[in-house]
Formats: sequence, structure tokens, C-alpha cells
Amino acid sequence: MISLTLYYVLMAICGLGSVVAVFLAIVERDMLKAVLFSAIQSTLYAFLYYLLMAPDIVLTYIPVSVGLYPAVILFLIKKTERFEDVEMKKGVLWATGLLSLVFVIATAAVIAGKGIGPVPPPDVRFLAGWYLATTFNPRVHLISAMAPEGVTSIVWDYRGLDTVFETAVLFLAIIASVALMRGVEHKGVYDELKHGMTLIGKTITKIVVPLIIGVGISIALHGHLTPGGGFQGGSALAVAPLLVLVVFSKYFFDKVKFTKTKALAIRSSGLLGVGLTAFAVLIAAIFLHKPAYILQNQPRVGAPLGFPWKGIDGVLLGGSLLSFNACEAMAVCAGFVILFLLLSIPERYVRSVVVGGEEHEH
Amino acid sequence: MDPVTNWVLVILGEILVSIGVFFDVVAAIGMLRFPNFFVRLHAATIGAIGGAFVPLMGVALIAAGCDFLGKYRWFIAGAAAVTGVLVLMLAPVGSHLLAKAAHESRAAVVEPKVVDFLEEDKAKEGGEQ
Repeated sequence: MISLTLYYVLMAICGLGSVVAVFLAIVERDMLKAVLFSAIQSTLYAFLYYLLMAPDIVLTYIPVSVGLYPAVILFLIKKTERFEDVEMKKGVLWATGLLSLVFVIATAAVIAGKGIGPVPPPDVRFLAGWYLATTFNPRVHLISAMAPEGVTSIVWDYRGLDTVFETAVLFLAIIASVALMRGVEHKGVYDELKHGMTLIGKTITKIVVPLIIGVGISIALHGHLTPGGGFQGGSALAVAPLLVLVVFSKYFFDKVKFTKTKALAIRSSGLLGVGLTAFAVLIAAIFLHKPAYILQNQPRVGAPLGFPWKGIDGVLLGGSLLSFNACEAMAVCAGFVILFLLLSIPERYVRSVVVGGEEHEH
Repeated sequence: MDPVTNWVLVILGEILVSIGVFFDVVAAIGMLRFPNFFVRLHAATIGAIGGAFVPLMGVALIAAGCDFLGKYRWFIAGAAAVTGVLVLMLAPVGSHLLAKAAHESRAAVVEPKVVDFLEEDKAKEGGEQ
């Protein structure tokens, strides 16, 4: 248990040290030194995240809050002034310091009293082992997701409901932006010479766009075997229309008659596909008079139906994951295209439509 | 493949990577020393073609010569070659469009200037109209 005690001691030092650093950063009137204290606090936090077994957060936290953030602040200080001219009252100062110290000690007391369970929880590694052992394991088919890519399995099988809701949230966000821009129709006639970038840019875009689409589709449809999946594939796919939008101009979309409504139709059918995949096994089970779950992928105890996971010649199909990924890629790509199309409408035009109507009433 | 071919591939690849290092250093010096945006863009392109495309081809050759990687060496070689070709296609277009945008918007001043054909053409067009 020495290692666990060491963990706690190191975490306590980091926590208290960061409080002191924050206090000094607030008190310090020389902004450059304040930024330095803030960076020290960030470093301690990064170490704390590492101790809490969150290396992914450490990897994003260090460049952002130790590198980028101080750099931005330093840049701003350079533009404004280095010394603060407002002095804090001594009483406020001490009260702030004391309060933050009390807060840290109280939090530490809660954690030390097992208020949020043992830290770091020893179960974390057991859980990881469990995922690795059951992601693809034909010998325990009844508890396996039967797809070798662990992340996609977790996203669409182990915690599939969560992902369905995430998809719904993104859908709502896009519906909201469409609703905000209702009635704003901006069209123009595409002119090869007048609109967009130079011929060199257009030619290369014509070569690159099919490549991007190919990569996007492969990321989406290979998601159950290699890193990737529906959202990633859809995002990669969305780069192609974005590139067309920037290089050929918005009016090119009018020329090929690709409208916001069509993108919305693609997005909705993608979402419908996600929904149908979630209910597919259940619908089949109703007709076969067997029990089943919502979002069921493979057969489970008491629910014998499931998606096929092996195709001809032993090709892995990934069960419901393949269908989920394909539909999600469609939905995400079309959703981004809608956003790009809306964002590409000139602000002056939008304002003339939105404000113009109101002015008319007066 | 026989060891001699492998060695030839690896050594050729290492020569290409060394050329890439040279170009990268040249590009870095150019970025720091050149006087205006357009010439610095030229230095950046040296870094993209000489310093990225050439060494990527070298990496493809080295990977192809590494027998111990098994069949995976073709994955690495292929990926490096495809990336290299994409860089070769996209970097010049990017710098071309950047230069054009900077020139059109007058975000970067051509100073010191030896010759500016684009401006002369524009002046000619303006005169005709």
C-alpha cells in the first residue's frame, strides 16, 4: 500500500501547491509574473491529472494551458500594459486565500474519508481488461461485442444509448441553426471566371475531392476493424464539400442544385438509419416471438437474436456497428454541410432579410 | 528480396532523407532572413517540397528495404509515398492561393520589389477599361 500512500501525498502536494500558485497569480501585480504563477498551477494540475490516471487529458492539458494559454495572455499583455494599477484590499486578499485553502482542505477531507470512493479507483484497470477481453471473443459470444475495434464497440455497443443521444443532440443543434436562418434563401448564378479561386486551385480541388471522399467512406465503413467510425468518417467526408465551398464558391452548390433541403434529407435518412438499426433486432424478435433488447447487437442471455458478425470467408462484419457507422457518417457529413452552407451566406444579406422585415413594420 | 537490393534501397532512402534535412535547414534560414511575405512563402515551399516530399520518398525506400518489418513494410512504404504525392500536389497550390490572396487583399506589401508582373497586368487592365 506504500504506492497508494505516495499517490495521496503527491496529489496533496500538487493540490496545495496549485492553490498557492493561484493565490500568488491573483495577488501579483506584475502581469508577467502572474502568468508564470498561472503556468506553475497548470503544470501542477497536469501532474495531478497524470496521478489520476488520465493521460489523455494530460496530453491536451499541457500544450493548451501550459503553452498556448500563457502565450495568448503574454501576447495580450504586450498589447496592453504590464502592471496592474488596481490594488486589492488586504482584507479581501486574505479572505480569498483563506477561503480557497479551506475549500481544498475540505475537498481533501471528503476524498480521504472515501467520500467519492478510493482514488485512484482500482476498478479502472479491471474495467479496461474486461473491455479488451470481451470486445472480440467468439468463445464468450454471449457477452462479446464481436468487433475487434474496442473504441467503436464501446461507442455503439457497450454504451450505445449514450451515442444515440449524442447524435440526437448534434441533430438538434443543426435543426436550431436551420430554424434561426429560416426564410434566408441566398442564390446566385455561378460564373466560372468570376467566382471562387484560381484555375490552379480548382483543378487540384477536382483531383483531391474524390480522394477525400474515398478516405472518409473507408474510415466510416472500416470503423469496426480499425480506429475510426461514423463520426470520424462523416467529419472527414464533410471536408470535401467544405473545400468545394471555399474554392468554387457557394454559388457552385446552386449550379449543381445541391440545396440545404437536400442535405437535410440526407441527414434525416442517416438519423432514421441509426434509429432503425437500434430497433432492428427488436422488430425481428417481435415477428419471431422472441425476447430482445433495444440497441441489441449480438445475442445475449435470454435474447437469442443478433446481427450477423461474420460474412463470407470469415470477413468480420461487426454486427450492428457497420450499419451504425454508415448511417452516422451520412448524418454527420450532411449536418456539417448544412452548417457550412448556412455560414457561407453573406452577413449583410442575412441582416437585410432579418432586420428588413422588422423595419417594414415601423 | 536479396540483402544487396535491401541495402541499396535503405542507403538511397537515407540519402533522400539527408537531402530533406538540408532543405529544411535552408527553408528555416530563409523564413528568418527573407525580407517580405512572398519571398518567405518561397522559403516555406522549399520546406514543403525539398523538406517533406523528398524525405517522405526516402522513408518509403527505407521501409521497402527493411525486411524485418515483414509485409508491413509495404504499408509504411505505400503510406509514405501517397502522403508524399499529396504534399507534392497540395503545397504548391496552397502557397499559390496564399500569395494571390495576400496580393489581392494587399495584406502583404511587395517591398523590397524587383518586379511585380501581377500588379503591372492589373494596371494594364484598369487602363484598358
